Amino acid sequence: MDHKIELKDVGHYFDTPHGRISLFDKLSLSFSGGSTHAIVGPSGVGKSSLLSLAAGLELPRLGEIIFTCDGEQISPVKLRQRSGFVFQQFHLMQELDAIGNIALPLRLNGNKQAYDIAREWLKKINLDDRANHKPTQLSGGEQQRVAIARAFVSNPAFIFADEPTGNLDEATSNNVADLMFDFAKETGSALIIVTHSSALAERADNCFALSEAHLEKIK
Amino acid sequence: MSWIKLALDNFINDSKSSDGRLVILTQITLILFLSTLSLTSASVQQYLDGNLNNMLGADISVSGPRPLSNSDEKLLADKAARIAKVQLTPLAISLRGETIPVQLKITDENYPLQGSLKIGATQNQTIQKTIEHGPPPGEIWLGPRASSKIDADIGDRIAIGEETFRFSAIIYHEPDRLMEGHSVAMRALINGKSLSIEDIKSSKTLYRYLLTATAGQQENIENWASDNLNDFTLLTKASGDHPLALFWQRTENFLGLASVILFFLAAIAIDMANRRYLERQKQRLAVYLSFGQSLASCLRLSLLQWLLGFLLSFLIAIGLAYIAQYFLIAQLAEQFPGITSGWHPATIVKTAGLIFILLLAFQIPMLWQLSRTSLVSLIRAVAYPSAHLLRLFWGFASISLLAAYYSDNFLLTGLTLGALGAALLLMAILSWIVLTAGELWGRKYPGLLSFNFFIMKQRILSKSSQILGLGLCSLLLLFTLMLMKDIGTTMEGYTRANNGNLMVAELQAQDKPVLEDWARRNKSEIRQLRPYAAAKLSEINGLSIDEAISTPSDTLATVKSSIRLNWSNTIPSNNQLVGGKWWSEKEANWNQISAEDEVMTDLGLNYGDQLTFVIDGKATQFKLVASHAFKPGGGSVTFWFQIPERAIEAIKPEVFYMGSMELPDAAWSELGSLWQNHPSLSLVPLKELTQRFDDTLAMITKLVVGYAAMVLIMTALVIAASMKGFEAEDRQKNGLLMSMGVTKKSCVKLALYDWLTVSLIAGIGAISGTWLAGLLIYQSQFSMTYEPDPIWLVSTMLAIGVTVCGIGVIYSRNSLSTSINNLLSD
Repeated sequence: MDHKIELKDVGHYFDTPHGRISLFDKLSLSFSGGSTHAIVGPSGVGKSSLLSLAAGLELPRLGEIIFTCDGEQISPVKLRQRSGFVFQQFHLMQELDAIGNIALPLRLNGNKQAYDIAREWLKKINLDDRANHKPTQLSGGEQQRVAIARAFVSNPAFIFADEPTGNLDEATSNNVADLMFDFAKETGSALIIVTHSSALAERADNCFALSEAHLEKIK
Repeated sequence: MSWIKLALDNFINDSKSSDGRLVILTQITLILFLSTLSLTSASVQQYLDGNLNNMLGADISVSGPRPLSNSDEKLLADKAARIAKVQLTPLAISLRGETIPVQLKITDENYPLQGSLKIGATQNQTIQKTIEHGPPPGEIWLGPRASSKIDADIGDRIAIGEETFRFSAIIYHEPDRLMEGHSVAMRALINGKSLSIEDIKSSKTLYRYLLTATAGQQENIENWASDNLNDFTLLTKASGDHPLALFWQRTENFLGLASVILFFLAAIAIDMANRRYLERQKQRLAVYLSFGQSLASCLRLSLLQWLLGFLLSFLIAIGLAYIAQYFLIAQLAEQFPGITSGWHPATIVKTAGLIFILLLAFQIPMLWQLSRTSLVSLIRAVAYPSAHLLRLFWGFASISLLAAYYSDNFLLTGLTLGALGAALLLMAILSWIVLTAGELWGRKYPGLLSFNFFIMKQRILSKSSQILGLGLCSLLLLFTLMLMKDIGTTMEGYTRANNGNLMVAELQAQDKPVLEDWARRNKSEIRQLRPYAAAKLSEINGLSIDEAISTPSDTLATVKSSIRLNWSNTIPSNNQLVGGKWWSEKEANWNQISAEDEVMTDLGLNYGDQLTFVIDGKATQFKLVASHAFKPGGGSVTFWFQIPERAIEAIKPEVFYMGSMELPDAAWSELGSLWQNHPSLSLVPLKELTQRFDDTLAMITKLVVGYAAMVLIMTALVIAASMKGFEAEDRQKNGLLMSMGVTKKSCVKLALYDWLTVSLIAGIGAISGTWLAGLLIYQSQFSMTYEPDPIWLVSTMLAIGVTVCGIGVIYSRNSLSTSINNLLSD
């Protein structure tokens, strides 16, 4: 699997009416396809911003980021077509039920078997009996399981997860983490997780610690 | 296909939310109103065209206030293929002691040249006999209303003066019926050989010559008539100048303005309902982006979803519009006999296109905001650019476009939009001043009220849009109610201002001693009798009326036919001088004229203008030197145009009188004999006159109530939208306050302060805007003097304000019970 995201001497900051907020400077690292990666660090150092940059959602102020898929360099827009996301706040569509949420990416791509495939994924996350439940009728852990299935259902090259267990208790977090790492292995998708949890970071193939001073590869 | 299915799913899901339903309901109401207006208008237009093509009774009609000279008539007959002569005159007819005034049509043996008449033997006959000629000599045909009023049966002998005629048929329709315009007079038809028409003189007599002619002949006749018959009106099928078209055009202008106002309200309601919808849509698009969808596809989906909403609203509204058209056309049947409702697909397509473009234009600011959607917003907070200014500008531009399309009265539209714009600016400035001052005051005096100002100031942008929305809505409602109230009062004023219980609408000079003698014998009192001559305005500053004036008005429609010209050396006791200089008795120059102030405004006349009147076939020029207005107290008879007495000595016209009498009860039964002996006497009992006004008033009231109902529905939608649109923010605020230990009662109090502040600013803006609109529009557009009634304005606004505050507080109370739970779940 020849997928890769390379950050070269990347620097990032925000300009606000009250002055400039610098996040990081001259940061270089790469996320290879088929592996799992974790970024850890205290609040406010720019972990989520680093994830946004890596996912091609924002352009870096300094340096460059190279996205490669199937051996070819691609644009951030193309990368997004090969990506999936898992959010801390789940961001399920409130008006759709569990199966509707999972089927949504497939339907957007015109897949006529969207609901059949979604039903398979519901089984994988052990929620096949909750197919027609709306997000408000699901617990936080259940919602995050649906969100994970939704991210993996279209078989993306990269999955970006922003604090996926940040809103969950320890037991549920473990369950959610199991699912993510199992699915990543099963589908071959690269998993890039931003987290506070050292337990979760431990499970990744590569781990980077981001601090105000610099980025350090700790695994 | 899957995109359409997805857009449909999203649409159905959104329709389940109150915001979604509100937008659809607003769209349905708006489309319903505009489509009903267009459909009804198209039906009337089709009717008018159809009438003109099939029912003129000739190729050309030439009408004027005098008979043509023998040489002119011969010349006209030579130029045309065929000619028929018709005379219309108001007369009294009698049967068994009962006398009624009718509009008598005297026809010759050639009438009608084209088309046919419809007659019957009984009232309300559905199957009528079609016939190609008028009544034979010795017979009279009566209209259904006249025959029922005088209680005539076929075979009865109807008397006109001393002669009697056999009532042989009820006349239902004749081809040139509509030429008489919008008239409610009772009618009768008689053959010219039956009556010696030379004996009948009336200032209201109309002579009409119907002609058939080839295209070449028509052009020849038109040229000849424009050079030689400047007091005659020429109408051809080809020109399409229907007499009722102008009346309908004015109605359309008013309805056009009404549409603009309703569109404005709809724009506010949709904008407010879209506030929350926008948030949901942004989140939806961000999630779609996280699946790798491009922004363009997401926007396309959003647009498709909106389109489905439009289609649904359109289908429902069009169905309802056809039903509404059916009922409206039934109401209009009295003004347009024989009118039917129709499908008018081209009109519907045109209207749908216009509404589609405008509603789409309302979506553009939202699409612009949606195009800024970022996936990053799902990871961390992102500040989206505010589109307040864009929305405001776009809304105003769309409304102006609609106004330009619908109304051809740019001044009225400009003044309305100007007043709205000024009120908007005032409310925006007031919002800033009140909230800033309130917040500064609150720093010194902490408490709930100061907290209210603080929190409102923090949310000034969203609060201002709520204030502006409610303010504009109240303004439009207030202005509509005020206009309707004042038009009603003005009309009632006209009705009741007549003194005496019998109006003498017209009296020939030779009948004056007869009337005076009759009054003496019957102990009746002649309150007023003022002389006048029949005159027709033919030119203004050397230009024909059509060339000189392009803005339609009731006044213009009236001056196009014969008017009454009065003379007086001094200003009459029931008139006052408004401007210019009234002539003196000694002045030798009698070519001077004074016009009523409202007439000057409507016709756009200025002092110094040269007005040419044709009096008894002779053109005379007058210089406009003064303007006068009615002053109550000195009798109700007043004239639009007045000239010096010396002018009458010079012109020597046929003199008529009009005035009023007070009859004791016993005299009424004697009136019939007077009328029978002098059938050209035009007398109208006040009761009947009141009835006519009441009928007109009832029609206007119906229109007004219907329109006010539409404004009320739209206002209710705006209020609902403004409450729902801010529900989330209010709930969050209340939840936070209650979690800090603030009691429910205090939260309700806070909501009350909030609504009171909003209502106060909106109320001041609405009252100021209404006052400004009244000042700008009343005089120039409705010829009414604007006398603001501050007590009515403030009390009506208070009623609106209390209702809004009441609903707002009740709504807040309901949302309080779930606030903390919601906050926790949020």
